[in-house]
Amino acid sequence: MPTPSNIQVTALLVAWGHGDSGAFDRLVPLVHAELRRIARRHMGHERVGHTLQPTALVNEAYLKLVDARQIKWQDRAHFFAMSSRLMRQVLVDWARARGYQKRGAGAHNVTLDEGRVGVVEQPADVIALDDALKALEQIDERKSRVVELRFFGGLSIEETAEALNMSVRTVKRDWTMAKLWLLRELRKTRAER
Amino acid sequence: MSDWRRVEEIVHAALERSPGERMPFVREACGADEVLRTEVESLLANASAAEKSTLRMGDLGLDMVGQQIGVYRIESLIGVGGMGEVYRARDTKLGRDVAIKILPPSFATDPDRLARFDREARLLAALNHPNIGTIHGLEEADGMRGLVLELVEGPTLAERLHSGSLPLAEALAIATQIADALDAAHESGILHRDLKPANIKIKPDGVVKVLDFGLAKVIGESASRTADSELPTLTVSGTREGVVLGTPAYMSPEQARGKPVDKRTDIWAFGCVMFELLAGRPAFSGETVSDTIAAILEREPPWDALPGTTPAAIRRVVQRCLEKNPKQRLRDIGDARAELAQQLVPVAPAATVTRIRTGWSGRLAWILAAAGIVTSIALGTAFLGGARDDAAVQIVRSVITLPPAHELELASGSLFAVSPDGHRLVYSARREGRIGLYVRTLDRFQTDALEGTDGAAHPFFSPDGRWVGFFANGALKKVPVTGGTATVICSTPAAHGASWAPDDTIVFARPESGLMRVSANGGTPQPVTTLHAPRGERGHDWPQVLPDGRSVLFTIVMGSDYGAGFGVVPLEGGDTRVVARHSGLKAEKGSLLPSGDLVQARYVASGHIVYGQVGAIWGLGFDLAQLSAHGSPVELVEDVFEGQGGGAIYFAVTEPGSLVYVPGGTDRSLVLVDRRGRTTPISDTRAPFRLLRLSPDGRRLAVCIDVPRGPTSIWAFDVQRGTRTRITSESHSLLPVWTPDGRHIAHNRLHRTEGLAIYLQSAEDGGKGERLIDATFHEPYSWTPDGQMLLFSVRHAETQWDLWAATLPDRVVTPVLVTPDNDRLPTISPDGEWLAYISDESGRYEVYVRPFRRPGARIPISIDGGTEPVWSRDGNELFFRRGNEFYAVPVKTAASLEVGGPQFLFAHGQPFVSSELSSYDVTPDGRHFAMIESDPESAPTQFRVVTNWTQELSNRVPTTQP
Repeated sequence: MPTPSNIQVTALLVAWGHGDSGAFDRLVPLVHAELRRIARRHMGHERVGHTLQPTALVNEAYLKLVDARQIKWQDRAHFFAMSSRLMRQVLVDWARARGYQKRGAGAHNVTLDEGRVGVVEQPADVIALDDALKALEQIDERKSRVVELRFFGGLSIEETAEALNMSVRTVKRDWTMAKLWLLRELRKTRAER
Repeated sequence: MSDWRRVEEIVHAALERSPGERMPFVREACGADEVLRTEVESLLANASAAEKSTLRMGDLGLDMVGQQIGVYRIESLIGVGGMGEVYRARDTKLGRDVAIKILPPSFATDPDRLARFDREARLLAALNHPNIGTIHGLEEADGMRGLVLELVEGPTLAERLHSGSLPLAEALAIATQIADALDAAHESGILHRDLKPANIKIKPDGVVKVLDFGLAKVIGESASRTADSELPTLTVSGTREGVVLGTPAYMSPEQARGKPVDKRTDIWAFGCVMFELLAGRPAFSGETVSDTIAAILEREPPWDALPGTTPAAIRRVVQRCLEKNPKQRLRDIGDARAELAQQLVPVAPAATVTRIRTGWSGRLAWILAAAGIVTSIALGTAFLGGARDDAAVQIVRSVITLPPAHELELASGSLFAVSPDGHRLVYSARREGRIGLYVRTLDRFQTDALEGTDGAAHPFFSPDGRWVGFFANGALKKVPVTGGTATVICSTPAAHGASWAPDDTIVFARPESGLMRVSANGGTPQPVTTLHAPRGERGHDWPQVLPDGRSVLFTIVMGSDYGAGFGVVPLEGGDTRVVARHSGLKAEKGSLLPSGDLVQARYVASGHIVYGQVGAIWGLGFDLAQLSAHGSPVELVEDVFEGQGGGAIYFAVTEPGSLVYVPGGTDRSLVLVDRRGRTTPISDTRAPFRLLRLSPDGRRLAVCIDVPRGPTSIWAFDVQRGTRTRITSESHSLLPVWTPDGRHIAHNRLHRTEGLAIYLQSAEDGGKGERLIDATFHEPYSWTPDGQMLLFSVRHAETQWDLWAATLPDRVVTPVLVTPDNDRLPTISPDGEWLAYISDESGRYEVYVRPFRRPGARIPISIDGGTEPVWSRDGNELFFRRGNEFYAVPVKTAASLEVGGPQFLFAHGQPFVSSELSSYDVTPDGRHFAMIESDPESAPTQFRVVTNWTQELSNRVPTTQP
């Protein structure tokens, strides 16, 4: 099947920025497909092991789909806002398909036999995080959205503020609070294991 | 959790205090509320973890893009390495692009490390050599440190080596330049310490740049506690190629043992790189890091992997570089350099340079750069000179239009074929419902039907051009190109392609199977390839017998992604070799291409393969002798018609070097629809149209057209004649709104640096336009009849979409209607008294009318949903649509408003292209609706021909082939 060209996505993104919500509906499947494709490609390298950086994946999708020169950063923020939710879905689907259970953070991070060479960031377990986010959503939906954008979409505080129509200060506070809450929950999950 | 707000307040207040003060504060704040206190304390227990939490993945990379560090504006992430992220950035002062390596945050915290780093970096910055990537300096802002580096375009040597070894001359040219770089650095007492193919870049002009000189030490030393760490970096490389851990393959034995290093460590690494350049595989490798290190310490490189053509002297240099004992190793890189210089091909004097054809430029650059004879300025002359000399060989672009009754057959991805002499074009087309082959002789206007080709798909020529082979009715057949009787060659279902070899063997694809071969005179087909099931291969398509007459190039098809790579196989069958692929296809070798369906590789005599990917034609260097691809893919022609359902792209390259292709991607048209739903076209133009408006006199139609790779622009079509004029050009321009006098068009414009604004632009002279107001999330929609006021919708965080107006010429902006609901699409009645708009107050969008700038109640117009209100010019009707159904509401506007019930006019079928606004307009007489139709069935009607196209190909895709 043909992949969407970046002009199409760029145009849709601009249209969406103009409030054309129909454009959003057409964007979602395009971006979702691209994210899945990219994620699948990255995950193909399991022989060597991998760290999953949702940020990098979303960024790659962005570079691929969007003609960045034509896009305002506000529109970019909206792209990432949308992608972050899709990314979350892609990663969770992937982890579940691989039979990863709730094994807590870092359950499948990669270490080298020569520990002293190379630093690999510990990836938080996607499923545990997803579950915790769902719980947070029940208490405070806005905060779970902030986490989604920051973590899965790689948005900065400012971009998150733009995407959610919130002040930077509020985003900062939400982000701090959400992190405290999530770390506690993830720790609980690990203890229950 | 009922008191979540309270929990939050206390947590934030506590965080503002020092860690020591927090708990007493919490106890006091919570008082006797135990539950509250436990909750707050359990959260605060994570405060220090949260500060450096891995949840901050967002900080890895993306946050930097768009930021400013000093004079540098960060533009995009280039890669993530062991030493931090590397970004492309713009030096806003000098107006040049640079690379910025952002140092790990741990740097910012230790002043000693920083000072040491600064000192070392300044030393490195003094290193100035044409083959060394320059360090421009250090930049610091907001506690972040960035090392500003020369931005070097082009692939890394590691990328070049993906497709295997390099030809000897090229390998030596690269090695010489690396040796030059090391020599210069060693002279200044600087070691590289991390030389490897990933740190070596090859610019398009052939100049080699060695990057990251000395950074391993500077960063390694400053970053780690153990100052004597001499380990090279294991790169966590590239966000594009997949996150892969590197290997220590280029580490010297003394590095691996953790011993002190000197310049002989660089010489070892140089030996490793040279070995790989020549052999196409690393000197030392292993499954794991430990295996690789063991190989370095204990084993000899696989010397027999060096090609037999390697001169003995060069072999000796590599061996002396790869002595495990540093004492026995080559002492000075200058010695290797001297030996290499001996081996270089002598080059003709500079006078001949300007006469060399452009096709040679790629190779020429290598030789020149290798010999160090000419600088890049002289190379520039070579290109220009080449262009002058080639002026006689003109590139001509022309169009062949299909006869009116012919519809190109597309359903099966059936292609067309061009005869080997380039004189005949054969295509499969539908005419009066029947599919068959047609031959167009290019030097005549005539098109002939080929008899006996009912249902034919995928035509292909015999090498002598006298026969046309094709698939039809469950068989592979052939027919003389001049007409005659078609004969069956063998039974087989239609599949993606076949190719006829000089020895009269036909290689053909079969669905869900490997390639097959059969004699052109008939017989039982024999397999040529078998599908590699563990790799997920699902088919082998688009075979092409290569000019050597012995090998076949084909497309490897996988389950999920369509085409995943290209392979080569001997004509008589045997081992398949992957020559290029995207990363979905797991194979040891093969140039790595970007992801996206790869189809239909075709070898071209200029030393390239040309293939289709995502609606475009791409080119890649291809060495016919070695059957290997090299270089990076270049996009050559975009907007090429793709087969429906994918898997085919409509192009062919002829023997003398012309390109024939079917343009694609333009699938919408402008139409007028009358009140009963009958359609007439406005113009023949097909383009990605959207958002249209008729001029007040109804004679012109302003509409947006999306341009591939360019800004969306506004065009004006003459409704009577169908001719068009471009109104805006430079920036994305959307949502045209005519002024009441029809002389100007207001619209949204997305300016690259100035942001989004509403502009007013002349509808006649195509000037730059005048910026009216800044407008993020503004929709310009209509003017008051006197032209004094522009109405638009604005999205606001709390009150959703609201209606506003800007008066002219003073540009004062005032609210028209602000409610908590979405109010949009304001349009004023011709008498200027009434405002029609839509609101979702009821839960869905409905059309309403209310007095404009007078108090008064709103009056519902639509029932069961409605949008896009349009007043008739006489003010007696208000139109709206619900989905694809169009309605008219009789109205009488006077002191009060009288409204009738909505009358259904017509429902426009599937082809109607709707958007949220400006998807239709009504002619002044109220009798026609202008709108955009999509035409998914629209068949392409022309072939485009580019003669001498391989000239362009050679200029744009460098190749080592002459």
